[in-house]
Amino acid sequence: MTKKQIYYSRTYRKLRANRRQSLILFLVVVIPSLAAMILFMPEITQLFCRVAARVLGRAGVITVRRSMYNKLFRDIYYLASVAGLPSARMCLCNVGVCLAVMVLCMALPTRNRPVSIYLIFNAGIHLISSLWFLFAGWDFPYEAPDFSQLYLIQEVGIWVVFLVMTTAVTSILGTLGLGYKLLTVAAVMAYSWVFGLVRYIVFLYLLRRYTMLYMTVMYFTFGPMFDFLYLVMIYGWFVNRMVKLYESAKGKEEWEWS
Amino acid sequence: MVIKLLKGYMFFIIGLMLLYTLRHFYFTVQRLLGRQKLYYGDIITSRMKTISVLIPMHNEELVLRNALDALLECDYDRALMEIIPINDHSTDRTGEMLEEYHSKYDFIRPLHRHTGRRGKPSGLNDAMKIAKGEIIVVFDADYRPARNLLKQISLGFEDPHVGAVMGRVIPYNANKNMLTRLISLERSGGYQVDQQARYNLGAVPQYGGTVGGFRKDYLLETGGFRENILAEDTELTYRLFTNGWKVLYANSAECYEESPETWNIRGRQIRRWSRGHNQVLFHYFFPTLFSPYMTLIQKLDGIFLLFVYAVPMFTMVGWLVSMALFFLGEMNIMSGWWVILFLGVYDSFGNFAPFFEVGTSLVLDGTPKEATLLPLLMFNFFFYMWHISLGFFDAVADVVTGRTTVWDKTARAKRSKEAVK
Amino acid sequence: MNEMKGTLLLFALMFGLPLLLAAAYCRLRKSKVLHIRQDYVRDPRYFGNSFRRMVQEALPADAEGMLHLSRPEQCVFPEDAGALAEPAVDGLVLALKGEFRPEKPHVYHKEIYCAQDASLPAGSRFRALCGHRIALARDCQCLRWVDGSGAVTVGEDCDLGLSASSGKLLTLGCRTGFQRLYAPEIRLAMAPEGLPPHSPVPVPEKRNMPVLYDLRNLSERQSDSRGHVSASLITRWNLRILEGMTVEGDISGDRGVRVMKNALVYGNVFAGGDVLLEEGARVLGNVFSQGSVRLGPGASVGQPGEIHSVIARRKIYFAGDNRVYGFVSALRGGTTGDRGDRR
Repeated sequence: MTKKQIYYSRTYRKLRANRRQSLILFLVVVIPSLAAMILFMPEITQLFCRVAARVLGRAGVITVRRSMYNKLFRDIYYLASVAGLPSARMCLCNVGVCLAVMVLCMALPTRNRPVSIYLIFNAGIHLISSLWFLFAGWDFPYEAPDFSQLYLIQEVGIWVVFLVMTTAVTSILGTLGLGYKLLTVAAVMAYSWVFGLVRYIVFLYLLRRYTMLYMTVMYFTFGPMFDFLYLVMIYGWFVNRMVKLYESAKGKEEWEWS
Repeated sequence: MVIKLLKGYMFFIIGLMLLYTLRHFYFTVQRLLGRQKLYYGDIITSRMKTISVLIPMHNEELVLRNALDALLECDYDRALMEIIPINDHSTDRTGEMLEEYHSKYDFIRPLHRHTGRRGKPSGLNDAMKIAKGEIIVVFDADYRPARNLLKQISLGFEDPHVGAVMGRVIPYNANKNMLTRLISLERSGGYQVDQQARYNLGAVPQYGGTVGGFRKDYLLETGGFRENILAEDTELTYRLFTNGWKVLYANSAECYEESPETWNIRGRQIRRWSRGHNQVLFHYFFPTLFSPYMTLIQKLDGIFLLFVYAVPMFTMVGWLVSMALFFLGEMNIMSGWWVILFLGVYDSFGNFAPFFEVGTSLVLDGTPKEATLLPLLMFNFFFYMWHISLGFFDAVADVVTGRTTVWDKTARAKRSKEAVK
Repeated sequence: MNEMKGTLLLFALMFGLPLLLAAAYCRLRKSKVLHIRQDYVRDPRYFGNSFRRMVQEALPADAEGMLHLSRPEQCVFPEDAGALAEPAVDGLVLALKGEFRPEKPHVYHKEIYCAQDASLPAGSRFRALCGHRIALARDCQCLRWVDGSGAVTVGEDCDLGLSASSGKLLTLGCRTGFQRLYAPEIRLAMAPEGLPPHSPVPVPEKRNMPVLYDLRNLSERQSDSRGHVSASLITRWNLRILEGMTVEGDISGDRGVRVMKNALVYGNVFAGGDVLLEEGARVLGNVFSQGSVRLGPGASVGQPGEIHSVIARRKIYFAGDNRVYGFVSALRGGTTGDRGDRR
């Protein structure tokens, strides 16, 4: 006779747990990767800076590679460039645009939509920045190299956190789909590295071209918040694959009741 | 000194975010891989309890037939049940339509309220005074209970320790627009993972005010619902736990609901929830901490739950503080931690369930492809942060001024005839 | 400069890709709304009843002996000569005329439908069986379910698959495995002569009964002169109801509950841990455990004329001479012991 086959409903089903496997996966992925990052961070950031410098150089942005010392990662390289202060006219224009955006977003019927609220928040951030530069630009505490330093430290933090986080949220999803799990971690790290590099180039270019006025919004608006977008996008792809896997004939055997 | 304070605040908010993230991750792992506590829905017993089904209604002519017709199909013994639709200051045909039902079914006994304070808590209080059932089951007017749902809810009360039972709501209008799709994701994560995990762990599953029931006698003995607290469901949850009862979460007791279809309505709903929940925070923080009946895990989870609608406001302040630190040139210290801040912010409060909870719930539910929508939840974070913060300030103003709260009902969609297959 | 433009474009693309993909998906594809069975009503004899309905609607079989159920099934009619010649029977058995009493054990790969009584010899293996009165000799193995509208009698060392149910009386022999059982009366590992039937006990109204909190032992100190405690019990600890005590309310324990010899509980017993009903203990309501349930010799749950349940998230063990009036469910399986198992 064929064996009993019960497909459990969603209410109390759970996946067969293999905590050892999940932990091993987590450690096997995270520890060597972290170790590699720690050991090779100077080389990684050097490569990062080399590529960025080349692209920026061809766009007329002169950069100098420097390093900062970090207890854990030792030397972290970054690019020092030059960025000027905005003129009063530029500040005023930006103030005007920010106010216009805020007023429009608040006045239109769509004011209660998430995008409008998001724009109001970020226009507010840029408004403060523009007013600062208008009235106290000389007192702005950062130069372009400072921003570059902050950015690289932030990137290193993102790499570490995303590695741990992605591995953690994928490794718990049962015993199947090892390939998808590894691919997801690799995809997130690859996207993070490439996106981080591209954003770095773009930011340094914009700072050089359009002054430090946009530094605040670069840091707050287009910073790590947007890194989560691609992490969640790739995680979403992973979840879709796992749903398909666990609803297949083979996958259904991985479910337990209660 | 000021900088030290600002930095201290940043460390505080980052620590808080991290704790919430770890909490949610623990729930996710527990729900996915851990031991699942069963609800009592499998019990078959010939000794069922008497129930009164209360349905608060304010201008519900568009939807009330759905709820009542569905309840008429329920397989609960009619000798043991009554239905009390609460016509709460309606100005449309709600009252008239309810009387039609009453003329056909004598166990449907509408309560018409044209005087007195408007609002769900007040309506429920008045209805409880005339209700005959031992157990009160509450549905919103747009809900469509399945035939066995009343039995499912009632069975929870066979346990003398149980003060309230909460089921799972599933939006039936998920495909209406992007908002309803995202709400469906959040509901999925919130119920399938969060609530069930809290039930499994013996923590504090929340009574949600609809698709659930509670013991009438206890409510009446303790003064009924507090009419000035907008989150009467959360208040009941804490009143029960701090006084030695427990709340059960019944993942198998599922019911369709209509989720808000416009951002305006959703914003008002969130703001009301936040205001009510924070009112409960102010009332129950110390009772939760010092309750002799609650276990350590219940106290811990109870405190976390109390602050759920306060933390977005802390986060917003955190943003402002971080900006201040930025302009004061202090971001060198903070930059490494900044990621963790956003980690916590996005994970915990970008939505009502972090992305990994939502993802896990989709796997558990077997819902294909919807995880593609997860990035859209990012903008929700600002939307929720704004409205939840407003709600928090409303609650603070309520406490400071002692003002009377006015119930703001969630408006229904203009058409509501979507068939539930 | 072209490189810079390319970089800017790449940035915009990588930046917007997650949102664009999500928005495009939202626009182009609908989500699957979770399905709730709105018309679902619990039927403890669901398997048997739905199968009977399906077969009766599909009868008669066609000229080639096919019955059109959810898919066409080749039927085997036991009254036909040689129908049960082989040890393995591959078709759906339709015993429409007379009782179904094969002489030798077979392996039935499909369901057995009996319009009347059925009796399977020792060693039979079958997928599912429905009939009126049913008797399974020792060492029968059911893969899925067995349901009788009349009495169902199961011999020793059987395995009852997922569900065994009866509209009247279900009797299980010793060392028999099960998962779900249902009948107005279920006798488990009972002596052939049976025990005297229980008389119905009137159960007082529990609604306004006081509650005793956090006891670990219920003893004479809490009872009246009759040894009765007119209260419900709620406790965070392991709880023992001492011998001969009577609890008129319900019991809810966060951990284990032990109802000792000849104690009586009028209401329900809920436990976060294991439940043990010792020899002669009775619970007139439901027993629900997030752990396992064990009934000692002569212990019983429920009472005649009512339906109640014994449910365990883990296992259920019936030592012998036990009765349950209603429903039994053990998610990790249950067994009956050797009669007189005093462990």
